[in-house]
Amino acid sequence: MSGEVLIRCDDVHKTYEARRTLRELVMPRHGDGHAIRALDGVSFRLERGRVLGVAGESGSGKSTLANLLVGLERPTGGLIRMGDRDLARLHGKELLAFRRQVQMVFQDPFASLNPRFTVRRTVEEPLVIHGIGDRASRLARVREALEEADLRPAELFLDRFPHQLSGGQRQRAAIARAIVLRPSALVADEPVSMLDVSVRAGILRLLRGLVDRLAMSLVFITHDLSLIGQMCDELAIMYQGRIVELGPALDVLAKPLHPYTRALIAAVPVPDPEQRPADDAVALLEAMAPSASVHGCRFALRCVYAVKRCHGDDPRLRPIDGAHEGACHEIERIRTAEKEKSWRH
Amino acid sequence: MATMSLLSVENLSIEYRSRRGVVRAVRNTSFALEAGKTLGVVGESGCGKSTLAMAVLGLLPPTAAVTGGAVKLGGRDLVRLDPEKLRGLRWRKMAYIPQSAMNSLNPVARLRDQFHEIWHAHGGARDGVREKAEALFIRVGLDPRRLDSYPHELSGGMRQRAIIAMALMFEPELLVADEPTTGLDVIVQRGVLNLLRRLQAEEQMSVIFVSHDIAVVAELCERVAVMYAGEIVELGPARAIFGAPCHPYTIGLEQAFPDIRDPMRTLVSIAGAPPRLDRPLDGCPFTARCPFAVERCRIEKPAVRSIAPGHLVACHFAAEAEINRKRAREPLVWQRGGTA
Amino acid sequence: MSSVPMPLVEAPGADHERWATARLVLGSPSGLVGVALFVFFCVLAVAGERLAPYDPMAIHYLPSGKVAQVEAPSRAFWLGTTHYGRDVLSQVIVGSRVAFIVGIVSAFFIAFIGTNIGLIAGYYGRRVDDVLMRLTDIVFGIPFLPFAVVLVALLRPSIWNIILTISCLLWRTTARVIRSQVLSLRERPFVRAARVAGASDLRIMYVHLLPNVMPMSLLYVAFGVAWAVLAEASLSFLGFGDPRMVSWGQMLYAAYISGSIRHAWWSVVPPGLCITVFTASVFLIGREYERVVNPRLDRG
Repeated sequence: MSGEVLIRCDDVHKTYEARRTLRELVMPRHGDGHAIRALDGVSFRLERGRVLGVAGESGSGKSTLANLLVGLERPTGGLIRMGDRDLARLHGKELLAFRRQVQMVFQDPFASLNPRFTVRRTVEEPLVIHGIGDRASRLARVREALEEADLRPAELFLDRFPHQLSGGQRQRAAIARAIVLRPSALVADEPVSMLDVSVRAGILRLLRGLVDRLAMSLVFITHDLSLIGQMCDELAIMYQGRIVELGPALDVLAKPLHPYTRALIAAVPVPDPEQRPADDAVALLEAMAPSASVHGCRFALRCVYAVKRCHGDDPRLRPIDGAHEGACHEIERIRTAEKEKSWRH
Repeated sequence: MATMSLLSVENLSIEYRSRRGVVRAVRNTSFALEAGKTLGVVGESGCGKSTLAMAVLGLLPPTAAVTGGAVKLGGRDLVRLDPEKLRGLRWRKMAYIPQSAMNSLNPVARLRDQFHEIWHAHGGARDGVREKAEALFIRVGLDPRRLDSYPHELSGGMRQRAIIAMALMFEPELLVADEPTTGLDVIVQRGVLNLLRRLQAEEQMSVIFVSHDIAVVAELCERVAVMYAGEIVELGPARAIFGAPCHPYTIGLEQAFPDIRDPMRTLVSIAGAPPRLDRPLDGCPFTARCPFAVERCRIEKPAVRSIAPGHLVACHFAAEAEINRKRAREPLVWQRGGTA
Repeated sequence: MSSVPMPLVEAPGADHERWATARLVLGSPSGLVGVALFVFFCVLAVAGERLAPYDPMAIHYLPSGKVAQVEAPSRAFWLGTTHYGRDVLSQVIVGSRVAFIVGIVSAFFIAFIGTNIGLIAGYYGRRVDDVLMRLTDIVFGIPFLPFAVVLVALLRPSIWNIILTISCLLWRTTARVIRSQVLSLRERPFVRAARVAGASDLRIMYVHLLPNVMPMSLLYVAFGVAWAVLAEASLSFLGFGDPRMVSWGQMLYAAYISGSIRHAWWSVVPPGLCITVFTASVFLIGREYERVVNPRLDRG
């Protein structure tokens, strides 16, 4: 690895304590039945200028990860480092300085812009908060950010309200807000899933272009695996608060290691009527209990390849092909089985 | 084609009226659906696809009005049918699967009670509801014990299955599904899609499947209608629509849609936005965004022409689609609009 | 890319927005009537003395030398005279000023207190919310008139004490409504976006959330004006009005204690009508404004 590591997560945990009811306070139950483990030991590092895709079902912890990375929430365990700073230890002024470094693009461009702010105020606001420049220089930076987000000419958009913009334009305004502080990292939480298909590619290209030009790092959170190839250098597949597979994006898509990744990829519909849809083996996953076994692999109860060991022994991410890692005991066996299957066809 | 169509929509126009003006959401739209066939309606938000679906079911909101045309189900015009009779047809002849199952289920009633209520409200026989409900739950892949659950006790995918079970209660001839898998996780969506495909084949129902997700439509539907700005711009067999699309909008939409089998393919983005529907539109509605548009497109509205059996296109240059398809592969082509 | 300008609104911008709202309010018959009546009372309140034919406190005499007590409307006294020989028309005109001062000042305080309490309670939630909302519940439990009578009696009747009393109690509805709005607004992604950008709690509340609850707040200003005018009239009618100023409520009180309420309609109808019409005009404006800023009501 050559580049400078910008984001580093080491064994990050986030546990939510549910509020106890009166009855439970009086008669406490054993165990930590109340804790919801949203993130359960997540580790990765991301270099400057690279894009990490994070994919998984709802409840896999990908949104929690986003909130932790931008400092909206604090981890309950582990280490998140941004450059040389440890996020969990930041307070006051330092936290504010950190916030300049990481910005976020949200899923819903209709709700992530203040409906009473013009585009100009929306994009200017981060500058005002951080006390950057005077009125004139701020306006110049707002203009620049808008043009970088392909809202050209900026004059045309400065005085518009969100409801006067199309979905794609709103998301561009939100991106302009995110880059106006010149952050070194961006977190994009499903940035195109609410947009019309015809404008999605433009937003994705814009984000990728900004990452390359401004040498930022981007964490791209999505449930749509078919967008990963366009955007990402690396890909992390999350399941129940864990990264179960991590590696170069195209390798993960082309040669998935983990049974869960295989199922995810097989389940994606394809815009081709000639393609035979995935069989019910994948669909079966849905019906099976999603509750995780406590000691073994989180996926074991839904896994068609699970053996006895999977229920007792918790697999950790381990390198398989160079940088391509998987958290599964049976990767080698599954590979051979799949190869035989494809030979027979 | 005067074969037995179960449903035929003829020159249908629908307007929304408010103090702010009139929005012509669906304009002069026609299509037919034969018994036992599946039609996908695709298009982007605001193209009128949901309005069209609601009109077929006679469920338009009070602000919307059918201003012309007919919706004929088995020869009867639903637009002119008296509301009481229309209500009698719903559930029995045609059923509806909405996008958000949570909003269409009563949150404070057990599923069993909701089943019974619909059954009796639409004149189901006194006996046998219980068995019927349980059999349907098994068919959609739910544990019949789930009938005693409240909607919030089920996951999103299970709720969608419960809704599908209810829709099948009277073995309807026509099923209208409006984005039934939108918002579901990939694996859950896969389950619901496979279920819908299996049920359609078993029941030989006609299905109208409304979605913005062309991959889902490609998988489920034999015929596809592409809507843009309140009009059907292309209608044909799924194989043709996906194999050799003829309308520039269809071509663009397919180039914009990702395919996991080819993750590195460059996706296009169609510049501009759909036209406003609250003012008159001259010419082809796609002109402003079409990379192949010429002066004629802005002035003259293209007629719907048949370019192959069952394949209709509303474009002046439908005959030259082959060349356009080639040019459309270059993403730069889509970066600026046409002449307009 | 999609930076092609959308064929959308011709003249966007903040001013355009505001005018559009005003136009929509005036565009409906009830909004127009409301605004016209309100402007009419405005003129009365501002130019009262100049418009009134007589000094409202002057006692008039008949040619016979007797006090012109409870004279029926005539050419000299268009709306007749009161029990004390004062001109009803002049009193009605000048009395509008009290209605205005009380209405607008109390409405301002109602909105100010209510909006702040609602904003703080809704934004911080948890303990802060619990404390502030229990306080609101207590205030909700206080019956208005008995409380006002006691307070005004203790502090001695004056227009400012009346305003104080009204403001002390009537913020409760505004606080509740604003809180519930803030509760849903604070979960919206634009608030998260502001936090990611580094905005402080105060900034989020007063820069990001306040403009979004302002329309609702203004709506309650409108209703506050109406409630305050009614409250002032009630207090004055019960005899706790400011003795140095003429108000519509006081006119009713005077007509009541002098007994002319029973035989001289002109001593009761003009002030009563003014209270009703003024309150109605403010409600009409409020309703129309609500319809405009809350388009969901329009669609139904």
